[in-house]
Amino acid sequence: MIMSNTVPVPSTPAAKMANDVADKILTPILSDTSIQIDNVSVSFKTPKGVYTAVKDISLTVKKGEIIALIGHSGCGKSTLMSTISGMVKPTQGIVMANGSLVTSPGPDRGIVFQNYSLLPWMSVYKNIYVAVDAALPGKTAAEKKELTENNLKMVNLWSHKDKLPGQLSGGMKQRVAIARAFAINPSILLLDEPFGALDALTKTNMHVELLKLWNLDNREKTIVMVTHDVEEAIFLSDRVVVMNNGPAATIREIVDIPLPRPRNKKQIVHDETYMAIHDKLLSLLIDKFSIND
Amino acid sequence: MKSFFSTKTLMLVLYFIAGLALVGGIWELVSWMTKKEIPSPHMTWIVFKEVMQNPFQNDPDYKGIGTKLFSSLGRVGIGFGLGSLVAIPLGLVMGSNKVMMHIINPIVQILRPVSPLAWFPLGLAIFRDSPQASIFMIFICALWPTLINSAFGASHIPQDHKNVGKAFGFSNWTYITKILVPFSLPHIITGLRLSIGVAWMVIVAGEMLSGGIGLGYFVWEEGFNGGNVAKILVAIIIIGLVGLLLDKCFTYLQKRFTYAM
Repeated sequence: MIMSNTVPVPSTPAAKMANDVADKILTPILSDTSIQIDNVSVSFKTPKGVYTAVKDISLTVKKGEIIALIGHSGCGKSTLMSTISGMVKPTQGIVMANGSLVTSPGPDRGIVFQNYSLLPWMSVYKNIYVAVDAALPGKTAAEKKELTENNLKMVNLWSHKDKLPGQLSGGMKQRVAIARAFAINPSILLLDEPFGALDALTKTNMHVELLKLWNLDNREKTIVMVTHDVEEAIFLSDRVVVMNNGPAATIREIVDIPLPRPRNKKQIVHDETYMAIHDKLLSLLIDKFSIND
Repeated sequence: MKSFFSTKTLMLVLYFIAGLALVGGIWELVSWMTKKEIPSPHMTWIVFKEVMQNPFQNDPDYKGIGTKLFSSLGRVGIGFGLGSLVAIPLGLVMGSNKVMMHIINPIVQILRPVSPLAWFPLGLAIFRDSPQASIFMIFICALWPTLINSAFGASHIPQDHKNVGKAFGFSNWTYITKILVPFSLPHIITGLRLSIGVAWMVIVAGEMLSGGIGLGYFVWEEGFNGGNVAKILVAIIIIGLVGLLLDKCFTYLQKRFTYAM
């Protein structure tokens, strides 16, 4: 059977709505789109009036893609990611994740916060177990224990399972936070400047660890990461989304990273494509600064 | 051995002895100046030993100091216990919910400055029983510090912790048991510690109103009926030591439940 390539343009409002439904809901389910952001704007009521963080953002992320959101402080990248995680509702527009409308956080989206956000009165093991227990109520206790154990072992912290967060270093705490996000087995992983508080050496290790975990899962998880670090963004992601300055920030440019995987920390910096992308991103970011001055 | 007799410990002991010596010196001086109306430390020590004999005797005409002490402690315990049972949940609710805060807080602010002793006649009117009125008085005054501190704890949960609950879909019950209460616990214990201090002070004063067999009544008896100042001083020392012990218990609890964030 030959499929026609020309689709009639919908004329009536009903037909238009049906078309929208098909485009925005059915097509993503059938395609390999993981996240769909459509004309999203986020505004907050403040005592001084309405503050618009981001305006008219549209973005499509495929399954298994790693995306970095990069931009200056206050440009709304964390806010944008919060609409994907469901922690914040968009004032306008819709966000779809895994074919459903995002209205609140859910077990299909794991979150890693900037400040680790481990509960200080619980052991490392309990921190992960409590999250698994709350996010995956359908599983049996044995299954939850298994998930906790496996993910702690994946980040090499099983021997520290009974320690309190206060007894761990920053890097270890972040590994626990990552294990916690992975443990609920989400299809989407959202990382908000996860390595921002770590020193450069630990950061480097964490980049490799994150990619290892992603690989262990057959590269099926979609990862969206907010970061300030240009090198981090290039090393980890498939595409880098550069945002304009806030308020009412928009996407300035989306840069492709066609570097092959697996990527090597030492070799990549000598790669010409890497250097070109690095230059481009820096000029995108620093360029805006001088204009604003 | 070496760590026990470290310089630091030795200095602390020396400072403590110096403090005692200073107080003892002033005491001796006052005693000399009032021509033994205020007994000297040595005389007080003799009376102390006498009072400490048969401490748990419980006859109609003689009740030992231990009996009196535990009588007071018992009333404090019940009043403090009931007060805490009410104040902790109420405080946590107040702290978590702005509407509840606006409703309950004005009432707290009005009732809190009222002297605990003023609640005693009200207790008598309600219960028509002196010991129960005492307990009522302790109950009321033990509410406020615990209530206010619990509310403070519950209203200051860092957004980070709340985010964890939100991100992983904690149920209300899980949020309360795994985030709200553990975070507020050090604050609750601070409140309890302040409350027990107030309660212990109030029972001594209150027993002067209510009579009975407690330590406070003992002070009242000796002070206004007997004239044996030494016994008053002994009672003061015992009251002080018990108060210190109660405070230390809660300080220990505080340390136990404070976490490096």
